[in-house]
Amino acid sequence: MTALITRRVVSTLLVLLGVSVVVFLLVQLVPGDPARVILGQNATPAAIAEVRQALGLDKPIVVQFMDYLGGLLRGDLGTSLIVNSPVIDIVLPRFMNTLILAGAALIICVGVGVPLGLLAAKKQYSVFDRASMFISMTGASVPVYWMALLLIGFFGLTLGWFPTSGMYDSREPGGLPDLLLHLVLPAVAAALVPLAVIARMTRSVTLEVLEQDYVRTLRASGLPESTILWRHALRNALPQIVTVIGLQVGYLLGGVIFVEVVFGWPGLGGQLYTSISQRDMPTIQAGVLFIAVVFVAVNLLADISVGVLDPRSRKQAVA
Amino acid sequence: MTATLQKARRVEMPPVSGGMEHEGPSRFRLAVRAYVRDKAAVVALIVLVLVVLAAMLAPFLTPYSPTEGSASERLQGIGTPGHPLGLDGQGRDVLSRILYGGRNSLVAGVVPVVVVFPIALTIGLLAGYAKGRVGEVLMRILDVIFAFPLVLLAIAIAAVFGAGLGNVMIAVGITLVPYLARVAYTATVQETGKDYVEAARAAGATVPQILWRELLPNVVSPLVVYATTLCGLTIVVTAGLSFLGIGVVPPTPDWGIMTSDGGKVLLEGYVYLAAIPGTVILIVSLAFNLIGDGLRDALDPRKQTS
Amino acid sequence: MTTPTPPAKTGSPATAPVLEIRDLSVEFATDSGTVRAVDHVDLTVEKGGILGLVGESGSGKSVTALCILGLIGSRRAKITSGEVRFQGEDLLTKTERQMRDVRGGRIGLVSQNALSALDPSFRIGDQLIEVIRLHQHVDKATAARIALDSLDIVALPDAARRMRSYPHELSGGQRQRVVIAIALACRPQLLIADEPTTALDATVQQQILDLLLDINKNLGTSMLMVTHDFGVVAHMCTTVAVMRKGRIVEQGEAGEIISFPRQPYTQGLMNAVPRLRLSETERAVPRSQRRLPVFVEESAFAERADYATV
Ligand SMILES: Nc1ncnc2c1ncn2[C@@H]1O[C@H](COP(=O)(O)OP(=O)(O)OP(=O)(O)O)[C@@H](O)[C@H]1O
Ligand SMILES: [Mg+2]
Repeated sequence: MTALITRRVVSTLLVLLGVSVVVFLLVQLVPGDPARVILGQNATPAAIAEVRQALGLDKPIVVQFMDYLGGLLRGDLGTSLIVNSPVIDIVLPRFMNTLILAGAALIICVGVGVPLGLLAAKKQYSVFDRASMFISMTGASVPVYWMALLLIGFFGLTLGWFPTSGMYDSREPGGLPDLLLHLVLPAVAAALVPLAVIARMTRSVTLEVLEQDYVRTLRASGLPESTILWRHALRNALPQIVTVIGLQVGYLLGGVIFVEVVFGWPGLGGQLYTSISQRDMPTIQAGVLFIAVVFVAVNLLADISVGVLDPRSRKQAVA
Repeated sequence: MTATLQKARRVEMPPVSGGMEHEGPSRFRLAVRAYVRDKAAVVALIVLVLVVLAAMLAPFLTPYSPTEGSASERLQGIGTPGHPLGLDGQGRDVLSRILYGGRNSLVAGVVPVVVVFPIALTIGLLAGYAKGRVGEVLMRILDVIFAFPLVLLAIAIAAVFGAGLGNVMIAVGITLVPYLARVAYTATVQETGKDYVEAARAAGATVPQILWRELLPNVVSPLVVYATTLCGLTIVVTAGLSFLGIGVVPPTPDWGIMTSDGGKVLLEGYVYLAAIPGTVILIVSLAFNLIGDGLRDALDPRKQTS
Repeated sequence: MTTPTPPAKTGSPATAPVLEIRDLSVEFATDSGTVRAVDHVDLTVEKGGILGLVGESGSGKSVTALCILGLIGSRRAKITSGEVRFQGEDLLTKTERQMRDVRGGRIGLVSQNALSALDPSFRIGDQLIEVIRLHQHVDKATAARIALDSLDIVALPDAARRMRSYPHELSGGQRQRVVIAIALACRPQLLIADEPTTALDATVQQQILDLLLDINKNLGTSMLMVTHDFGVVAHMCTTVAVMRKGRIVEQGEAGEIISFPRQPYTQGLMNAVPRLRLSETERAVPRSQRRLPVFVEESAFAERADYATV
């Protein structure tokens, strides 16, 4: 078991190193002189030189990268070109807010998507199966920004059930209940697409499991269908479901960016949007880096859980 | 779209060695027959063709300019005489913008996939055939790219390049390369292990011959299926970039920008302005997904029954 | 068609049979029309006896066996006639809820694929305990004791430790012993064994058959033994029914039929046993896609064309 975890962690660290390279290279990708592009056409040479120095563009590229990496390891992500404060101070609180939103969305995805897939598999070919699979096929194609706007229009404006923007009520912030109320619509919007995919995949994995020989043994032992489905089929489908969920977190995080912009949620996505319009490269880099790190971490977790869940791989890891 | 189909057709034409040959109807016929049996896929194809035609024939279908409106007539609802889908916040005819916008949105969504397809196919095919170290290294590099959620990477690259239709397509295209390459790589590795490749090798076929004649036809079909489904995603993503203001530049019509514009007047109660373009994106994306599903079944020899 | 004579087991008291199948027919709706997999079948398992159900591959043995438990899990299957009398009750009229008590409680099943018949994600002991607690309403400790007893009965070496093993940690023969232990855990009156040894190698096959024979002797469990191997019939069955294309073509006392087969088909089965087995690749084809196989020596039975139902 420890061997398996060690191996996964090591390969994850390598991936993270690669991620830092890519994020670092983002600045280099800016066509022409990044400093000029960032400042616009009428910038003074002095200002350009200043930005070049702030970005470290005057040094050889390898040195630049080592500087960048060293900074990362010390928790130094550079200084914002716009607000003149350390990027980490801007990004970290937003990161927490993004985790809250993404976490809530993930709970909805898993809590609804997995049971939906299991039930659809159980009732294969039924009206319920067809309907839920058509809805999730459609759901998987939904533009998240559109869904977010519609939710605001319907539940926010027409029904007036939920607030449509921000994390807390601006006049009288009310702690957890207030937060939860603000969370509902953005979380639902961000959850929809991955939920649909998770439901579809869960269904097909479960159908495969239900065709296995041991399911016949279970039936022949008199176990009720519900036990077979929720205990045995789910348990055997779980490793694959967990893998799918891990991958879907990527779409979820991508969707969160849009949702934050639409709902004015003070998270990384909203920050990214602002920083992009301001061409604040260090902040953009930090935002991209943080989101990628979350995704990598989630997949590491999913990988390890799959290892733990499968008795066969568990055995191998021990041996 | 038509490009994807032509590719699908090409899959079927070359005689595939190694037990894939059929007596009787050709694989292409069987594939078409299997596809036609999938009603959802047929409807999706028809819808997509209609949308493409409508975008191409926009000037003949609507008398209004997509970019100019009269400020006096802004924010008219659905069913306004002469403007079936109403007028937007700047008094522009929504239907015209949808039709003309389709040109940009469809191109931005589909062209990156089509352009990247042969590149990714080549990478995947070569790396998959070389396997060993080369394949290993490639997969490790791809792992790094896959550490970034697709949308995030597209946003980051688009942010760096700056707004504009061309830049968006480049950003999305770059993002797609690893995804398509991985599918081609996996398919190649799988096919390389099969008997017919061994047989060709034993018969003295050169490496290019094996790649071109034996592997390519069998790798292309899963890739076509995947690329079609990807189009469903890229339509949503590229429109999303425009939605965020890092895609097509206003006042150019585009479904993403229209959704974003609609969002600005949403709180004033004009939900339809965001709802309409978003719905069109959804329909086109769903169509691509359904066509992809249909193609998957149609190209799967096990599901082809005569 | 040869009316099957209900075999009276010589020497045994005239007790009611455990299982009586009368006029059972099962049809499958396939793309190419309806296939009658079981065609007006009559079978009897005497109390304490072992009935061998023999026939070529695809003759309908498994479908018949699963029908007893109400387990032909296919939407396309339909029981078109007949009754399945188990200890005097017609199982076909029972509700799903009632059938659950019968399955694993009063009738045990040992199925065809020994290697994949256990849930790979649960420990052996837990799988046994789950079934025992389902039928016997005992606490966990008692269930564990009963489970251990069952593993002892099937002579699983090192049973106490094996309770904590996962299926993949056991050999094929051991796994089949566990499957039998699960089937026997609640002391069923009838055990249905559907080719319990096909997936195992020759030496292990013999051990498993001997085990089943011991169980029959010691626990008095009646058995329906599905096989295509007349060797098995000769070894352990009291009565035998020969099945072909969904019909019973010959039925009677095992020794008698082996000595004096009336049908050339039966003779053929006895002569050509090894050739009748499905190869590995054929088994890999999903059941629903298998065609009704043509008997290898069809020509030898040209005069038996009246049995051809499809
Ligand atoms: N789910 C199904 N759908 C359609 N046909 C089926 C299905 N299950 C069984 N059949 C058909 O019923 C017939 C009898 O099958 P059965 O499994 O009972 O054969 P068998 O005698 O047990 O053979 P084997 O020795 O291979 O196990 C076969 O011809 C098979 O094709
Ligand atoms: Mg069978």
